[in-house]
Amino acid sequence: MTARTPYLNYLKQGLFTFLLALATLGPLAAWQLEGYSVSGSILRAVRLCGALAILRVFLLWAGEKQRHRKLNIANEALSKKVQKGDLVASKLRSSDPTHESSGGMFVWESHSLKIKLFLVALLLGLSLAPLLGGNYALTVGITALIYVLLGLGLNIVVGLAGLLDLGFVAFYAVGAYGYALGAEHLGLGFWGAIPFAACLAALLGCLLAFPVLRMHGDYLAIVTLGFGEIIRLVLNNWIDFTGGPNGVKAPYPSLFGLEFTRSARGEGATTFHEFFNLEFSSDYRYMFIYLALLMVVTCTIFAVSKLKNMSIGRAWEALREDEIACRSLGINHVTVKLSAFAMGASIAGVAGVFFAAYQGFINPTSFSFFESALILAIVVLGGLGSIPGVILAAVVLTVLPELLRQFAEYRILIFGISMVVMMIWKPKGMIANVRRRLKVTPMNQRAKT
Amino acid sequence: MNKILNIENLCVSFGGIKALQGVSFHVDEGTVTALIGPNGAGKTTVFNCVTGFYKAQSGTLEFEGKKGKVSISKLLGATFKWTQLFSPIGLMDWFKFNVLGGSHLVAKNGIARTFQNIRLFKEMTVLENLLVAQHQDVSKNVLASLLNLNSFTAKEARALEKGMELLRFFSLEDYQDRLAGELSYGLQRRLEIARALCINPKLICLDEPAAGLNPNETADLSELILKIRRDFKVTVFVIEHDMSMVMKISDHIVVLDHGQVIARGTPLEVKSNRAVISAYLGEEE
Repeated sequence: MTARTPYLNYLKQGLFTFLLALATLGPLAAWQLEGYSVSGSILRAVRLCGALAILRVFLLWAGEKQRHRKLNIANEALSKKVQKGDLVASKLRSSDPTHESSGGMFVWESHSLKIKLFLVALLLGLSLAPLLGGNYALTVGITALIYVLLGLGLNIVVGLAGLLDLGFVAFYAVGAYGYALGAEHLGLGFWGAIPFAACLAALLGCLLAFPVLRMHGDYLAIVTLGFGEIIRLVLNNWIDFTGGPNGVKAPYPSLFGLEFTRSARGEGATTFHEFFNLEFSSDYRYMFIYLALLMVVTCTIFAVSKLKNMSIGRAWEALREDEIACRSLGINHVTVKLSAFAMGASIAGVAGVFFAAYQGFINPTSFSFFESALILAIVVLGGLGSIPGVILAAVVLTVLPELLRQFAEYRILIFGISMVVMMIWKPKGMIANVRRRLKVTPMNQRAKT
Repeated sequence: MNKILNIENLCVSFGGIKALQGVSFHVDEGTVTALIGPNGAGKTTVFNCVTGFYKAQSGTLEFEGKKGKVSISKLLGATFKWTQLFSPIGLMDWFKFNVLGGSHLVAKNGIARTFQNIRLFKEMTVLENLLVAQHQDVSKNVLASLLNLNSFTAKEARALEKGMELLRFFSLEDYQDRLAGELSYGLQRRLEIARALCINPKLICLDEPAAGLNPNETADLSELILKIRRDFKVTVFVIEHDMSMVMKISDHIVVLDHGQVIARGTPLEVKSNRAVISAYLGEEE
């Protein structure tokens, strides 16, 4: 495919690099210190990003050229072999890295352009939504997005790797407390806390995974259930550090040092509404959290769907299907399991940071077993292993209770009945996991050549 | 001829039951070697030892692998002892073999296997089964995958192509998008062999490949096994009960009974061996 339209590909890659660089470096590069004041010039950032884009295109071009050279050598060697009368299978066996695929003959079926456009429109619509909805709608949206994140995390562990984890809320708690306590003791900010909490939760995920490496199914479920309770009890009883049942205050997030509080706390700090000459309103804080969360969720969806289709994702699914067969194929089941636990946990950790930032205050009651069960329900109801299914289920399971508020005490009952009906009606979940298909069947290809 | 696999004095016992008592034989490179014997003779135990799923209590298992000669027992490490936890070297050994190492290293050295009761990834498609098996050859760089770098996509495309080529070789190309569990029994057997070949093995161990196949399919399978040996240049080590097939394809036969080798040799030699006839083949009327 790349061979046919190299220049279009260069343009695409260059543009992508430019945008990526602008998004990551832009906020830093655009500001310049002059004595005590800061002057901003977007041109500087654009120039820098442009240079990076050009560098990327150059590297691509150079790489392509190098590959062509190697390919020619390999082709010559191959034709010599064919002349000698070696068989097709010898070509199969060759692990020669220069052995070129025959011009993208086999390609996976991807989403149609219509669906892609719809997804982009949906994302745009969602990012503009806070302007329309009120404070209440915004909080429901934030909750829904947090559960989408949690569902995506558990989907890796339960849906893909097939490891039944009933203590998933522990990682969520670690993320939330990591932010609150990190801000208190280490002076971590909101944006710093996200990678910190992700790493902390991933580490804890690995710690949990080691003792349960040889366990399956029910036994694994019991151990993880116990793990979740241990974390909650530690948070509840380690009063000196975590504040125990009284909880701990989590700071509100800030945008490049602009705080979302009524008045600035630190010396020389400014608040968001003062900087932009606006009336103070707590809506801005929710809007900010909502937009940041939307961004993180979008990135997570993208990353998880990529992971699902690469070696590690395939190994997760293979592990769910048959561990012994995995080992017979040279796949290290230990690292595969650890990576599934770590990846799921780190996503939950990030969700925890957002939860703490949104609530402003956390205590152990938010991390009870009921939460774990709810997240598991999201994954099972949505469809094990299915990303769109999990997203839909997370939205439904958070919005539905809000819509059912008028039925007050019957809420949980309706909730339960609808879940039972769903499971009988669609046992594979709302949107069952679909497998990738090949776009070009080899039969057609062979007929052509 | 070069011995690709050399087994000497292999002993395995489960509790009080001695499954293997001093089994010794070897497999020559490039041959089809069959392991036969009555049920419960210990054939699958030998296979499990060779492929690293069981650890032999004593005896040597040497394999002429991709990276030279290796001892399979060494790949699996020593049996765990509590005292290991108190010495740093012991702890490192434990970590190395139980956390980082183990049976998958045997596969990495070039021994592939199939199973008596088919172990496919049933909820994955036929093609995905073959892609999983190419785990060693595709890029594991997450960043390259996220950014769609050439280093990632080229390897992935190559894996796809190799998978399709193998499917064509096994006449499975029309089933690439079907779930592996949906295939008929005979096709599942074929797919399992294709999957084992994906790891570029030097030795492929087939555990009763003809079980549950009809006579026609068995005949096809015999052809296929010979074709695999020729085209992929692998050594085939096979457990089989179907005598007509064993006699047709194998160069060398090892007969096992009660955990001991009772005969070894070419098909003709084994066929006329008295001990084999009384233990396994049965007296002719």
